[in-house]
Amino acid sequence: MNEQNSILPEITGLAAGIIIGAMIMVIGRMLFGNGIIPTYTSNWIQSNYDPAVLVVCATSSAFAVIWYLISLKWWRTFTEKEFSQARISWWLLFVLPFLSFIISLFIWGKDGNNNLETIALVFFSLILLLGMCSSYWLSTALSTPPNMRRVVPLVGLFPRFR
Amino acid sequence: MSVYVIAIGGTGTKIVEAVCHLAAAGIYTQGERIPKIEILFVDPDKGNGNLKEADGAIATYQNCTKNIDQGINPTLNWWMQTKLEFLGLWTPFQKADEFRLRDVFKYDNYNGNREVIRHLFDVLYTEKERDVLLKDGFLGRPAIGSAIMTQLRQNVATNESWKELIGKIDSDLKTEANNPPQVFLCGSIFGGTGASGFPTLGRLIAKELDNPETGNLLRKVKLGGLLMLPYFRFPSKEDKEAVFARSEEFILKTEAALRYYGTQDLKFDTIYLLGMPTMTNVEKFSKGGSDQRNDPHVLELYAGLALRDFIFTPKPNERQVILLSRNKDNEISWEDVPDKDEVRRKLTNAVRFAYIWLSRIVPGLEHAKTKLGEVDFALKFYDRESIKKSGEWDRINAIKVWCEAYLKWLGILHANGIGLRWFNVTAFYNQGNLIIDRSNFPDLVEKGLDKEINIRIRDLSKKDLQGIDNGTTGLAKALYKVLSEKSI
Repeated sequence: MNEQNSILPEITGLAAGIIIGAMIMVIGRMLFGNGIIPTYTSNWIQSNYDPAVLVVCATSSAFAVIWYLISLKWWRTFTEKEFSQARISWWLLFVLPFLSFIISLFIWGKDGNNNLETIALVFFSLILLLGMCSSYWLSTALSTPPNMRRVVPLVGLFPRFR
Repeated sequence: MSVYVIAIGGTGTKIVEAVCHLAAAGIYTQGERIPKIEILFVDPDKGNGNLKEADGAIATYQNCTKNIDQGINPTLNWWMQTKLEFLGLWTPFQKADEFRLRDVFKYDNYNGNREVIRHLFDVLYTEKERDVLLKDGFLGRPAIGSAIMTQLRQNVATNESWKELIGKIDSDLKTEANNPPQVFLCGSIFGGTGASGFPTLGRLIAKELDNPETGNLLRKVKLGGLLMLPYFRFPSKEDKEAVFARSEEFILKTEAALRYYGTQDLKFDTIYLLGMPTMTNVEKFSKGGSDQRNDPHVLELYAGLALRDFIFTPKPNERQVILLSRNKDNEISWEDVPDKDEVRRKLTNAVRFAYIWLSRIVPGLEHAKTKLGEVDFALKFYDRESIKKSGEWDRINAIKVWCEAYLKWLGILHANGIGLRWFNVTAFYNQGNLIIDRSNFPDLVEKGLDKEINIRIRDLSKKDLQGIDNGTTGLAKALYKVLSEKSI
């Protein structure tokens, strides 16, 4: 397998994770939009939901791309002695996507002047969390070069990567 | 098919050392043909340092090959597949207390009517030559060696080593009629044991094989030999009367020997002669024994390649003269190697394998013992139990020992000033020490030729492996397979 061939699956994995994250956000929007998950404010989706998912999705995707670029340079010389260092780097990059999730929830997790209904809050949090996980964790799990893949926590969940 | 290599004297043992390394690389294979090589050493000097090195090389190789079972797959079934068997060491001294010429020939018993025999003996040998102890070898005196070796002719019926050799050849002919065995003698033309043993043993073997009682085997068995012309010299001792080898006499002895061979019909199918225009300096003089330990020389590697040619060239119907030379005076490049494409590919793959094993695999497996999940390549071939098993670590270390020996041998060959230019030796060898630094891998064969090790090993897998495909055996085979898919 030459280098170009090996990058293609990785980039595909990166894109897949980001797209799946985006799709989760879109599905969530549909659930709120159809009233399946009720909100008080009529334009809650445009004023709260959209900016929140945009921030979380964009931050997670951006840091997934940063991780991929780091691993793309690192894997050629990577050894197991650097495993802990690499994992710490992954977690450090995860901080901002996670913070974006918390901050988005804090800023946009309201319904006008009221708090969101519990069920709406739970679903909103879940959508943001799943979107963040997909855009960051899933993207990095699928795109990290094979010899560094185990740096991504829980990557062993994938039977293919066991 | 069996090939019997009879290594005579110190030079013979150095050639065997080269044969071991070449066998590991798969040089003694051609397609499906993978002969078994059986080695018999002939040397009066049991404690010879070169002999110990050759012994060690055989043991290292055997320890490694027993871990690589059926080869890798049908297209790569030759790496570490040649079986090397050690038939033992034959010394011409039958009795432990007879190490002097006068003892072997019962000089002191020639009295009275038989005193004339003693006088003849006095003409042929000086007093010092009669009395010198020969247990460290024949001291560069073929005249002494020949006299001792001819005793074998009288004792051959009772000599166990020779009976075993002829018996094995006979048995091979019966079991493998389509692939008859081959016999190859090798030694120096200028030393003591080699110069005396080669013609004597050659004639003896030819006579044994050409004997109607043993079925005239000589028609079927291919018999060949290699003689090394002087290729090294050493400082001589001041004492001009003492009996020991003197390198300033090598050329003269060689000339006399070549004239002799020109008049003899040894009944060999093929004879190889190898030499260099300039001799390598051996810094330390040694009379024999454990001190006699010369560094490997590229001419010994060529001797190993001559064995390859002998094995795979059909028995000739008529005598031919084939010459080999190098393109440049001060350099030996790949262009100077017979069958260069195949030899280069196999030696290079072995170098890459050895370097990756030492610099990446072994350190990775050490880490994997406690943190298997962090070592991607180890996860493919081991589980948490097997990575800790002592049997696996015996295999890992056996391969590691071979890798170190192989790289060191190549390093010395490059470093001894002959101008060998096959690998970029500074990437792995410096002043007697191996340099194992994975960042040097791209420069191993040629500066900048290769990519980093991780690029090479990312495709390690069990796919298409033959036989055992897990554990250390699987890993080694998978690594070699990956390297051979992107050769040179």
